[in-house]
Amino acid sequence: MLFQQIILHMVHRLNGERTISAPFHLLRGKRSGQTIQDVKSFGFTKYFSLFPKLSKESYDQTIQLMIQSGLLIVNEDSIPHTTKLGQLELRQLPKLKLNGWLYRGNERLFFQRLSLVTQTLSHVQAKSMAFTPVQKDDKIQQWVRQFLRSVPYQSTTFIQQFYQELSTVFQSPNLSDQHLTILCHRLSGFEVSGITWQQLSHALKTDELDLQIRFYECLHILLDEILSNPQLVILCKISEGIKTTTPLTDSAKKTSELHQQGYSFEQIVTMRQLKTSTIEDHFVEMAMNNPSFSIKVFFPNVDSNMLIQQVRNQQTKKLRTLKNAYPTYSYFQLRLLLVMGGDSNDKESL
Amino acid sequence: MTKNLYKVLNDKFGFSSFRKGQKEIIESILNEEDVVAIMPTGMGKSLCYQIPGYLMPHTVIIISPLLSLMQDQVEQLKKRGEKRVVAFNSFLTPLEKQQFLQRIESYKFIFLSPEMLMQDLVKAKLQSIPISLIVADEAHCISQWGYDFRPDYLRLGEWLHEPTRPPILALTATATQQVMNDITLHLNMVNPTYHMQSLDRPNIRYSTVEVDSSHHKFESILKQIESYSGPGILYTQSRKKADEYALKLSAAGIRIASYHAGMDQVDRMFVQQQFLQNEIEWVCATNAFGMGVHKDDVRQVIHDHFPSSVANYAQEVGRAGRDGTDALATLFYTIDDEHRTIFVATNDFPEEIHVKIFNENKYNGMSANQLVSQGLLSENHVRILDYWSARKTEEDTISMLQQLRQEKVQQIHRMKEIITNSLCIRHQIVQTFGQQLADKPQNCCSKCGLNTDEIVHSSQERSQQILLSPWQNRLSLLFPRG
Repeated sequence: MLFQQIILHMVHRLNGERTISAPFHLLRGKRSGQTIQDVKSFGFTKYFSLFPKLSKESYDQTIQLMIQSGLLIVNEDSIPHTTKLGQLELRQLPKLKLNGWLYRGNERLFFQRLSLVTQTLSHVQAKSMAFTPVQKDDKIQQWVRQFLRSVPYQSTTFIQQFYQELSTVFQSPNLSDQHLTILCHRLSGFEVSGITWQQLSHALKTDELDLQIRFYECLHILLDEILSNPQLVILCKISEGIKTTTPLTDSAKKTSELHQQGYSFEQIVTMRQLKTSTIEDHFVEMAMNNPSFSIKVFFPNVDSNMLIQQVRNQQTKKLRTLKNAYPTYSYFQLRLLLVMGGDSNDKESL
Repeated sequence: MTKNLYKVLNDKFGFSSFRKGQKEIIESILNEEDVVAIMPTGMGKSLCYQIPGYLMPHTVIIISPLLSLMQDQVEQLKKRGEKRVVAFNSFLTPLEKQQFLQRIESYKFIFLSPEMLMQDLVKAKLQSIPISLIVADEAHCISQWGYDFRPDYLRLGEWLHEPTRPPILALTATATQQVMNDITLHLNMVNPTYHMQSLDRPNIRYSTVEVDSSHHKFESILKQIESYSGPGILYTQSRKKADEYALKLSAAGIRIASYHAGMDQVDRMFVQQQFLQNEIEWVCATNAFGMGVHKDDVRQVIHDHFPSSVANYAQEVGRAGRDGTDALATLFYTIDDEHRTIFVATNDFPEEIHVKIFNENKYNGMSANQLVSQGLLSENHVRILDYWSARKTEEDTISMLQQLRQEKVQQIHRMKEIITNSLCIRHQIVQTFGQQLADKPQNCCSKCGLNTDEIVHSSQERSQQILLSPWQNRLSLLFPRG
């Protein structure tokens, strides 16, 4: 079970330093300082926001199931650990080309557009325009309507080009047959019905949730390919606004803008009339996302690079433990040191 | 005029002839009479106001108490290329609402939920535009004697006082005297013309089969599906059961998929498509399935339980045989199924204790969401109590809820009675809605005598299960000659 393996992966990396809620918030893409910090310091960019609508109920159910099958234990402080069996299971986790941090659930939006454009063009080609749109969301329908109005969608050449672009991008070596089977059967068109998750699960003899994870992976790969290939004109347009350009929350973005204009931390607190702790969260976020961000201003008279290295050597991401080791530094300073020293890229090593 | 009628029927709907009763209703409307039309569900009610809509100069307002029904009608109109249509209900965001009100003159068909009639801004806007016809869909909901009373619906009457108001069309599938009196009274109808169709669907034949255990029930259902052909719908009571049946039946080689409100919306759409295109022969569903499925050649409907009311039963079996060809409705039951249905129907219905919890906590400033998240009340409790507590005292709310609960139980008793006594099923169904049966078809029901082989075809050779194709083939299917 891929889903369980992913949870095991997170539990393993969290190394007893977070409660069992941490993976839940991460999978849902919670935009809180803590979760966002965990993404970088523990290297979870893959999984961030993989299931934005995951319910607490079904998450708890999975955890219970995993405890029952002896994959993990959760102690009285709600801290999870993997068991021996869990670590064996974790070895089954395949290399996933997910990039949740970059797409943050927006890949679903991309697919909604793609499926409605496909359905429409398939009907246009068949000259049979009476159909019930497969996507009911009004915003998606409006987007597709506007998009189609901006292109010669009724011309055979255009539809041919769309078909060509799909064929081209589907030939990417990063996509497996399973990826494409799932994706293509989730598309529908003139006299071609889509296939439900349940039916796919039957036919492919794979758990539904696992197929969905593979589906999101497929969308992430597709988006990577599309966004790096400007020749895929139509697909590029359909992918517009899907990728997070500044990987920051909207509020942090404002803080960042002010910071770039040269305002100091204290000035920003006053100007934005927000709590100090909120602005601190923003700076941590900035430190995580902006490679040229400097924390020097928060560490006058010390070599911050050396500090980063020292903190990394402590091999803990737990603030309280760090605070004991460095009582003279504030939690905010320690958080900055933590994210600066976090893995810049998720490593596959477990 | 008649020529125009047929032209619209052909141009907009692609039909060359009317179904029984439609033409007379339309002519009365065009004659600007107030009309009460009694028609069985699924037999072309909506055409009765859509065609006049195209022949009358101004807007048609349709009051529809069932959101899903409203949504479906809007979709059907859009599918036929009608763009001047909008559904105005509580699903709209404030911005959408504003945009809609600004462009209100540009719509031909405006669907409204009854609670929207209570909003002053909406009322004022509607009064500022010329209207050709007002339609009260599911008009029995206006009557407290109807099985589905919606008090908000009464507001429509207040609105229809003006002497210059447009004509009204009241549509319903209930013909009891009390309900009809309430409809004409509360809608302020003036000398209405009555168009009463028989509510009987003669081509649907009823069969009930008692079994002694749920294991035998499944065996019997499997045997029925293996012996007689679809397309068919198997109705069950829970999502879990729907998935479970679908799994077991597809393992037995039946082309079947499950359908329920727990599935994601796209999956539900796919099942509908597959069913319409006969890629699957059966759908195993909860009562969420039906609305929006416009398939005329459904040959069988099977129930594995007592539906919660005769109205629900009539609606569900009514999805069979819309093409007029014979169809079979079979209900399998064990004698204690009644308790299960009562449990399902009343389980999530608020009781005295819930009313008290709700009021106490509201007084203490707790929000409805908090009550739900703390597990004190269910979402359904909150929805119902939110509505009533704003309108009635605690005492009245409690006694009314008790009464409603009793009515629910009575309706289930009535359903069970019809199924288990020795009287004609058809006769009793029609009687429930206030009509007498004029004549019975041969092979009427299992109580009057029924030879199944004369009604439905025996099953043909099973065709293949759904097979996946390589992506290249799939892409070529979507874009042939691509």
